Amino acid sequence: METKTNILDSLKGEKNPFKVPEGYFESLGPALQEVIDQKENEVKTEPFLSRFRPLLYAAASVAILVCATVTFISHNQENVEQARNQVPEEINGIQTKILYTHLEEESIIYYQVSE
Amino acid sequence: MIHPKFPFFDYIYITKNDNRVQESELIEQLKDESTQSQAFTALVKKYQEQVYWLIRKMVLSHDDANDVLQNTFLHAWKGIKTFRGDAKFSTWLYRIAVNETFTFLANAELKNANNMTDLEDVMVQNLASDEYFEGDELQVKFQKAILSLPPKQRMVFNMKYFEEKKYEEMEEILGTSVGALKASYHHAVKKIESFILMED
Repeated sequence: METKTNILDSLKGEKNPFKVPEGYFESLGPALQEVIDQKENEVKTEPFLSRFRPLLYAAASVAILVCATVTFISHNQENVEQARNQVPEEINGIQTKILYTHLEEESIIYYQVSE
Repeated sequence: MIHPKFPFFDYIYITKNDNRVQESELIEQLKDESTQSQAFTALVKKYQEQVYWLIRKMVLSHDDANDVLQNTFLHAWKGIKTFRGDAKFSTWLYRIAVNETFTFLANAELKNANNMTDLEDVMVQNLASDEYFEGDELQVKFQKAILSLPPKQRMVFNMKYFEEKKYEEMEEILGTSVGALKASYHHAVKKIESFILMED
């Protein structure tokens, strides 16, 4: 027990093994002042931005929504116009013919099965 | 005379021109916005070395200690309005330093989570190559033994062994009862002694 206590006692009497750069404590004051000044400036500018941040977000959202709506409507109108201009009228007739043909075939099959 | 740009230099004028400026006066000056900065810098000057060594003995590296010290004084400056003078300024400052140190160690632990080597082993390895550490083999072993303690117990040991703080002051700083602190220190001493003897 005595030996154990002596270890810590002897270590306590030894020189501090940790060192600091030369002149560290003398330069600490101005260095800390610089850090505090920097942070103070950050704090001073932050409320201005943070005050307007929600407004900026809202304005950006509205702008995006308006742009998206305008683009969608104009694009949709273009498509309708294109469809009207480009689709030949005969297509309706062709489609009707195909439908009739299909119906006729189904009717024949149904007729044949039921018989 | 007060330095216009760097209030931190003001302590030079305060201490050189008027050595009678007492801590109680500085505390009073802290409450007045016109004298707050000067009083704070004077108090910082008074305690910076003590606080630095408390932090350094916990984080070991000078660069890390410097970062934690700067954060400590920054938080102290930001929270100066919350200091009412009920406790001693040094106790209040130590409390901030202790919190900053524990935060730093917790973050270091998180950053080291993916590393196969424990943070404490990394700290000892770094110590051996640290240009600001001039300890011999026994000193490295001693630091290794201290690092084997959990952070809070390490803080208790350091405050008592190196700083020779009174248990009552440690109680105010750490928010732990005197009885618990005594028991913690006693166990820490036993663990460190066993660690050193076991390694021999």
